[in-house]
Amino acid sequence: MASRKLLPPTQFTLGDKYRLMLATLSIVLGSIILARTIPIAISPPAIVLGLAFIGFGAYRWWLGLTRLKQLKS
Amino acid sequence: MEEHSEKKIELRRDVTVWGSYTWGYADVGADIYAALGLVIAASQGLAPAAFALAGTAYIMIGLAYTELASTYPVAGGGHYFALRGLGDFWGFVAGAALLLDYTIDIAIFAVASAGYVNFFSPYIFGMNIGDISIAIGPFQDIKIVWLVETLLLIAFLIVINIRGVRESSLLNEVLGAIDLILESSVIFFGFVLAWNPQLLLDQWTHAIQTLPIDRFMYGSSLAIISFVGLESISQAAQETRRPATVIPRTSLALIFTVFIFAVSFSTVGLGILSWEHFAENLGDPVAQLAKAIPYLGIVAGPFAAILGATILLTSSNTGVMGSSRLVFSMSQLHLVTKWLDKIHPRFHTPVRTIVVFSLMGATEALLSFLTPSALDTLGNMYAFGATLGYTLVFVSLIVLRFKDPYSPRPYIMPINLKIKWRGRQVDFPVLGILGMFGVSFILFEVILTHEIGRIAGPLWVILCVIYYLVWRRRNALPLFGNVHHDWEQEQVQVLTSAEEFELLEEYQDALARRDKENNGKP
Repeated sequence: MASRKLLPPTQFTLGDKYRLMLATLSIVLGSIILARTIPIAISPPAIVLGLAFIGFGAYRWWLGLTRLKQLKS
Repeated sequence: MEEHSEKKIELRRDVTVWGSYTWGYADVGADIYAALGLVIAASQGLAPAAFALAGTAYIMIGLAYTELASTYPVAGGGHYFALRGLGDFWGFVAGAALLLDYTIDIAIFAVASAGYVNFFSPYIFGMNIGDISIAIGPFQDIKIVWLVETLLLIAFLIVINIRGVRESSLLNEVLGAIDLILESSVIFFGFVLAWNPQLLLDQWTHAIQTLPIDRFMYGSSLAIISFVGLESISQAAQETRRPATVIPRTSLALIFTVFIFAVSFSTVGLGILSWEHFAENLGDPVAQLAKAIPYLGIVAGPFAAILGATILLTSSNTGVMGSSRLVFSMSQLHLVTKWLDKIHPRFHTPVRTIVVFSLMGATEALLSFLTPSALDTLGNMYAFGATLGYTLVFVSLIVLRFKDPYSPRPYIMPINLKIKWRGRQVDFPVLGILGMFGVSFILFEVILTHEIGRIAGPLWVILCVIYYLVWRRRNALPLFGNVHHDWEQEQVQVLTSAEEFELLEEYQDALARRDKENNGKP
């Protein structure tokens, strides 16, 4: 029942660029949400959502960089 | 038992990664347009928590579907998994529950799409033609133009679905892309330009202090309707290229997108507008939200109307595709009449199931227009089928880990306990158990709080079960037992047809090892 890994990439595609752009936007949006919320109060939905956007963006960046490393190697 | 001597014509594999993703997104993405206002009206300032609660259950459902659909990439989805795990009868019950959802899907989203189209009618005709009504007997306010528009939209969807999955999948792909961009824009610009965290916090605190628990339960059970769509990906599995590779990728992406969109829309919405404003505008909550965003608000009306009309039509289309493929699968597995098991010789699409169940959706739309609010009536029935079907899928996931440990699983739900069972090691799905209880709880909420759904939903299932028992008796098939299925042979055929040769080899190796351990006995 082992999970299956994707094949290493053969080129840096438009899709990769789009994903990195989306990741950057997610981090920006998450930071905006946190920056506007924290000075006012700890609002649970806003804090969780802000962190989720940042987490998602960071994960996509990590994924993109991993693919780039695979491509170079 | 009826025998199939003729060679079966199979569904063709035309759906790509993007097509599989948008197939699911088209269904789920539209749900928020209907659910946002309803959930906020019920849960008030706690709407983000209601979406998050339902969304947590949904994530677990999504992971279960990802495992099952990539392991068994055949048309049928939840009903097929229930049949494999629990037998024919429960497979049929799951199918009936999900079929109810698909036909309501066709109806509710066609109605809503036509409603958004009517947004433009005052500019063209000088009046909202959707409000033109007639009286027939005791029904005094039938919105006849809106009804005719709805039926025309369903007829259009029937035609493109009969013509073939490439055309209808293409429709999903184009509209899905546009709507992804537009929904993301509303969220992004809403947070950046208009969002007031103080307003969100005030409404959140007020709701915690004053909102009765049953209102929150009602809201969270309605929120599950924002997450109905993963079933679509598994429905498309038999038409997806390299499904074992594609389905885990698209499913996981879809799970995240939909969850984040649902929680984001409610969080940004309650930081821009009061919950009362949403409650007063149940018909177009996303349009109200877009209108309140500076700069974007100038074009918010037409923007939201086009957005709503397109994605709702796409979602209705997903209902046609899903219901037709579900019934096609059920007929192939001796659960419903073989009359439905008919593929169009030219377009290779399940023509009879498309026509019959789209017409059923049209009938539901027609009947809903006899009530004071068509959308309310359809929405109330929506959650029952989904939660019942999903509960059975979770049970099947757990059972199949024990019954069929040999089928290779390209994706496996996380958090498993390794246990010994009949001399074999089995991964016991802890998250599957949690998901089963989570969805069962939402089903309980639906039965407790949905006035129409708790009657119409079970009634539908009972009628379907009566049909099933009569039909099985007439065809001399076991009523509560199972027709003989050679699942091993079928799995080989499925993997071969999907061109998943690596998985096929893995599967055959596992079976050979098992036979060797059992001294040649399967």
